[in-house]
Amino acid sequence: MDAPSALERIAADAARGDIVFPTHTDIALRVQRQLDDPDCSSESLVKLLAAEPLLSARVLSLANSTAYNPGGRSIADLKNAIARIGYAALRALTASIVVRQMQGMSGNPAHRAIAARLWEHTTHVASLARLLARRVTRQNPDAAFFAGIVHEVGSFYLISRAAAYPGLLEGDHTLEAWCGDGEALVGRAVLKALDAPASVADAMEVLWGGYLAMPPSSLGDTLLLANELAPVESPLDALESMSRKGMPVELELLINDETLTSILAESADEVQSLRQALA
Amino acid sequence: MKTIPNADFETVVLHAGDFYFGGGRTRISTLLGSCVSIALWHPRLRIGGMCHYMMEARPRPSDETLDGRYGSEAFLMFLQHITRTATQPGDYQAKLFGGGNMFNAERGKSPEIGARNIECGKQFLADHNIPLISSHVGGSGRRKLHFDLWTGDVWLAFPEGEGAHVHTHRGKRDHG
Repeated sequence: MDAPSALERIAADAARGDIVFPTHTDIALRVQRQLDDPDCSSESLVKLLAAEPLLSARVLSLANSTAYNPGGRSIADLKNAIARIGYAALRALTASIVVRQMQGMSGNPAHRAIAARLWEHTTHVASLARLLARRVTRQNPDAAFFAGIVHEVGSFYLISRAAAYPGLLEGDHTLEAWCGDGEALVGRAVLKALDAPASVADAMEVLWGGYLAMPPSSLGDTLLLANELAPVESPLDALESMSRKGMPVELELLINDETLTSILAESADEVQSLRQALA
Repeated sequence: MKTIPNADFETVVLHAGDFYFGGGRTRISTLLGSCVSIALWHPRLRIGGMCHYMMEARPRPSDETLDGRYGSEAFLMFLQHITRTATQPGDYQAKLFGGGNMFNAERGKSPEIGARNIECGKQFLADHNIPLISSHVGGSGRRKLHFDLWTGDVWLAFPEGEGAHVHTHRGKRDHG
C-alpha cells in the first residue's frame, strides 16, 4: 500500500473513533473523566491518583517546579499539590501520561525513537506555550500547557500505527498527505477520545491551519509560536524535508514594549522546570 | 505583481520589488525570505499598503522611476501615497516582517542582508513617527503573509523547505 493510501486508512479509522490507547493509560483517562464531573472532590482524585505512581510523581514534580512554586516551598502530599497546581494543570498532566505512553505503542525500535524525539519536542512546546500564554498572548496558561501537551497526538498515533505500513515513515516526501489533511483528521479524532476542551480543539485548528495572527493573541497563536520557537522540532517535519536542519531559532517579536528574546531569557528557568516536570 | 479575484475579496500578490497601496476588500499577500515587508494601515480610513524590498538602497542614486526592490525607494512610495490621500505618516500603524537569514534557500547571500533590511525599515518608521505595533523578524526560512486592508489584520505562516515548492510548516500546502 502506498503512503497516501495508508495515511488515508489510518485517518479513516481514527475518524470512525477506532482509536487504540495503551491499556495502562486507563487510570489517566479515569482521572480525566473524574475532572469532567462537576461533583469531583479532591479526596476522590487523590485516591485515584495514588493508584497511578507515574501521574502522582508528575503532580508533585509540577507543584514543586519553579513555574508553580516560585517561593521554593516544597510540597510532599498529593492533596496540597493538586490545590497548588489546580484542576486545569492536573488535566494537562493526565493528558501527558496518555500521550507519553502512546510513545511506546510501536513495536518498531526506529519508530519508538522517532516517538521519543517527538515527546522531547512536545515538552518544549508545552512549556513554551504556558510561558507565551502568560507573557505574550494573555491566554490561560494552563489551557496553553494542555494544548502544548496534546498538540502532536495525531503524530503519536500515526507513529504507533506505522509498523503496519512498511516504509510509511521512511520516504522523503511520503508524508505529503499527512501535512495536508491527514494530521488534522487523526488529531481531531484522538482529541475527541481524550475529551479535550473545546478551546483546545479550536486552538489545534489554528495550528493545523498554520496562520499566526500578528500580533499573536489567541490560544492557537500561542501554539503556533511555541511550535516555531521550540529548539527541538518535530521529527516528522524533518522526515518530510521541512526541517530547520538543527539551526537555532532567532526569531524576534515585538510585544508591547518588550521583545520576545528578553521574555525568553528572563523565563528560561521557568520553562526548564516545566520540562523537567514532564520528563 | 498579480491580482487574483476572489468571491469575498481581491488578492494582490506582491513579488520582490512590488508595492501596493489601496483600500476596500483587498488582501495583499507575499512570500518573504531575507526581504522585508512593511504593512502600513490607517485605522480610521481603513486604507494602507505594503512593500517588499530586497535591499536597503541602490549602490548609486538614480533619477529613474522609484524601484521597490530598494527600501529607501519603497519608503518614498509610501510617502507619496500618504500625501496623495491627504493623510499623515503618524496616522498609520506599522507591522514589519521578514529579514530571515535564508541560510538554505538563498545560499551565497550574506546572512546580514536580512538584519540590515530590518534595521533600515525600523529607521524609516522612527524617522516619520509611525508607530511599529507588531513585528516578526529574523529566524531562518520563509514567511507567507496576508494583509487584509479592510481590517488591518496580518496573518503569517512559516513555510519551510527549499526551492520554489513552498510548504507551510503546519497545515495545508501553499505555493508561493
